[in-house]
Amino acid sequence: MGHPLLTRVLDAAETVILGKRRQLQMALCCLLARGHLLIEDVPGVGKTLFAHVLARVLGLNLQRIQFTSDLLPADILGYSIPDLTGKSFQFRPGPVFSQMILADEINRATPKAQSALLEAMEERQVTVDGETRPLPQPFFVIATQNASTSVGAFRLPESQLDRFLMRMTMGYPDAGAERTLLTGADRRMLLQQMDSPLDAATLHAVMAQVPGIHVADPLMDYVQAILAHTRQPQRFVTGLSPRAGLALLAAAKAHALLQGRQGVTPEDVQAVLLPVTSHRLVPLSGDNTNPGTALLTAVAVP
Amino acid sequence: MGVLVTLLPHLFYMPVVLSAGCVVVMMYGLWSLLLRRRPWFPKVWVKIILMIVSLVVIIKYSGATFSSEPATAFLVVLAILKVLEIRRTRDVHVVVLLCFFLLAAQFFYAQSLLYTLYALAEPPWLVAVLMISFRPTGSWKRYWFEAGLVIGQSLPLAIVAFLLIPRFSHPLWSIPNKSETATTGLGLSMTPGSISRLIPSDRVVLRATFQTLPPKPAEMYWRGPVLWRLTGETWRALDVPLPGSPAPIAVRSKRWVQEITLEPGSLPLLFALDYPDQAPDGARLNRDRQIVVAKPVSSVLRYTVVSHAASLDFGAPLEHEQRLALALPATGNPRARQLAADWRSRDSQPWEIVQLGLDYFAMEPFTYTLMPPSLGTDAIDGFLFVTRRGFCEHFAGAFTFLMRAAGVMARVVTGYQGGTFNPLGNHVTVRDADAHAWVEVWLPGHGWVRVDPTAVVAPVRVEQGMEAVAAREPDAFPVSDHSGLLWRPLRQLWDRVEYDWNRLVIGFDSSKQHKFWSALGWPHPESWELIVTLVLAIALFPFFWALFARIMPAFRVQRDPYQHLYGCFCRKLAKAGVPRHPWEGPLRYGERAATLLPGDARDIVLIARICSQWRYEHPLASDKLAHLKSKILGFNPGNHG
Repeated sequence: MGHPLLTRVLDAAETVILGKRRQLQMALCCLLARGHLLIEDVPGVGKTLFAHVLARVLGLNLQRIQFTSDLLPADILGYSIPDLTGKSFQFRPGPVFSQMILADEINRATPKAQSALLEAMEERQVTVDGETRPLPQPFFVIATQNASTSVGAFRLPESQLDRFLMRMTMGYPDAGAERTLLTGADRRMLLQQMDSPLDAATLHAVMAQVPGIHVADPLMDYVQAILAHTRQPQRFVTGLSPRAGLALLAAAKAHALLQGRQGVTPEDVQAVLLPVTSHRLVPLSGDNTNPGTALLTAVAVP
Repeated sequence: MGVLVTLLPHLFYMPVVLSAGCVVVMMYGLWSLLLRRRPWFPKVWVKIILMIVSLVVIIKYSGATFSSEPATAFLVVLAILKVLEIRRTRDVHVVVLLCFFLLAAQFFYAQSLLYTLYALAEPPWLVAVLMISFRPTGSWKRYWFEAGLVIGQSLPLAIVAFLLIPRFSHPLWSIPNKSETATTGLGLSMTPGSISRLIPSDRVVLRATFQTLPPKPAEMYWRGPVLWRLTGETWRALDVPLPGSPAPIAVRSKRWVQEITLEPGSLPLLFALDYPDQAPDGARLNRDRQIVVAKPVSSVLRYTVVSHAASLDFGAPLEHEQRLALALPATGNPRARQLAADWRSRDSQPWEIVQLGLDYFAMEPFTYTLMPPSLGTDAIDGFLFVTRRGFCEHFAGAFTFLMRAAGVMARVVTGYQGGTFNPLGNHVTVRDADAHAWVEVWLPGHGWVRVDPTAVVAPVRVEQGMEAVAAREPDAFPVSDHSGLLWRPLRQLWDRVEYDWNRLVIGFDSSKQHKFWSALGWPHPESWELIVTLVLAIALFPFFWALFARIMPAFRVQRDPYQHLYGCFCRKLAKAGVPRHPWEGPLRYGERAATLLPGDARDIVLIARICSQWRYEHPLASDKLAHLKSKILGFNPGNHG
């Protein structure tokens, strides 16, 4: 089972990213649902490589922005310089004008620089010097963030986190994958040899299928029950917003497409529930259980 | 739409102009609804003009008297004009509320079973309209289902209320009686044609059951208006009835105890078999031996009367009565007078004269027909000596004339003769088609005695009824034939149902109510006790309903075939030791169950996958559904040895 084309994409990616099928699936869902992805983990687990592989298998051009504390908005968006005649200005597009952005260590930069990117993510266009320029299609941002214990970081505030469709962690590879990793060829070398089973037009067509995935009434009931559950008092600081509900549904649709289904099933919702909601739900202090997991088992499937 | 359905019955009872106007407005509403046009909201002055016009029409048609009819007509107009200004949900609610009230007002006109069935069909419409107003998105099917559910749930309460609401033998307030509508059935006068016009009518006049042996058809004379005065060709009842009451019936020959359910009519008169002995409660037996009530019977009435086959009155007639019973127009019909004078001179005994009269009808070639030739002046002469074709009214009228001319006191009695015995309900149904006229003559030592000249001419009419006559001589009686093979049982069945309806529901008065509760062991419920019980019942109703729904899981709404089949699948797996977690979808549950029950893994995964597809992806084709059904029903996990 599964979407034949997308399965091939995943298979290709998995030759390089070992044992991370699930993360790859989530990233793909995120892209298909036209959302952005936040990867949060300790350094060195392959966040950057992950983005590179994804860009490669999807046939997208990738720009990497290394966020540092002295990064300025213009470094991301671009700037205008006087042309040779000196009479007019010429716009130099920044790295943001790319189909896929890897915003590495986004929490290292100042909030000002962060918000420049986040605004571009939301609007899918950039306004510089009073002129609005559309961003390319598709436009997909993978931001990485070091775990909050890291020193010298500006953590993204909750309102900004909401801009990301999903947040996920990479996690350490399991023993077998790590063994292959340690003994096998250099991953970056493999990356160079990869080719993409997709072209831009095909990807576009696949993405266009996502909104057409059927959502049955009982499933809508289920999604609403989940939303209602998070809004009950004494569970979370704030419940899921309507935007979160839309995000959940969009991600679930993408997942259903990925699985080769014509309609969204509760399993699709459950598969994306954790990545979609974990960064949007703040558990009440003292509650250390994973909010997403608790949510998963708390709502009955109608 | 719902409004239209509710108001439809009212339109028949309103001034024609107004009804037409209402229909136009409704059709306009329907039209703009169907074409999804933006409705036109009339300006205030347009509405005021419409209102004034309708008011004028109502007042003009109903006159100055205030009765229920113009009042409901006014409400109908209000409801329909309100349709023109439905802008908000609130307006819809107002209209629906009005319609509910008008629904109840419908019963001012009639309370028959057909009417009630129609009235029962209306609330679902109205409830559905209410639902749409609250929740505009949804399918009609669902609205209907839910409206039906709501009404179905309220039915038990309605039955309880019906049994408990105290009845009063006299209503607390009286609705101003409806204005005189066109009379149906017998009237207080008889002209040639006035009875024969009733023959094609199928209207039920009364139904009767007998507590004693029922009379033979030829004995069933249902006594109606007694006509005394002859002017021209018309026999009329007395404007001022004779004073006093008839002599009590002394002879105990044959008697019938009959329980009669009388349909509404235009006469202040209760029909009963000849000769009634005593009037039921609330009515009076007058000198003419008619059971009279104060007002025309406007709703179905039930009463019991004891009738005797013969009445003997040894007293003398009143002087006034005597004068009336011999009165004839000063001139006209000389040949008839001549014939009567002839009889009178031959024999002086009244009973002999009566016999001569009957012999005359028997000997001469008279024909009993619904289509008599028209008669000129001296109509009785023309009938007796020239045409000799006529209907019962001709026979009764002419015979009375002859008797009076011969000096025998006589009067015309109209009513019904015979009736159809319905074996299903064990009752006799009397219809307008059974209308009849006969004669009563005063014989000294006997009192008023019934004489039926029609019986001499056409014995079939009296012995077997109008239908038999019509069947035998279709040319003379062009009456629609109701005796078809298929039609007859259906008619009998309907007659039976309607009879029971009248007897059990319409006739459920205070005494019946008391009897009902006594049978249940509550000897003499007072009104206030009934009301308290009713309030208690209403309060406890939701509780009982909830209890009922809890006890009977089958009654819980589980019509969804998916829920049914998938539930069955889950129950089977649970029995095999893998209960479903409530948060598990079919796929995940199937996978888990497959790993725990490897023997059935293939079936489980397959069923779970199809269920999930059915529920969340697309409806299943019927053959696939049937396959799934058989698969789940035959599914037997954990039994592979």
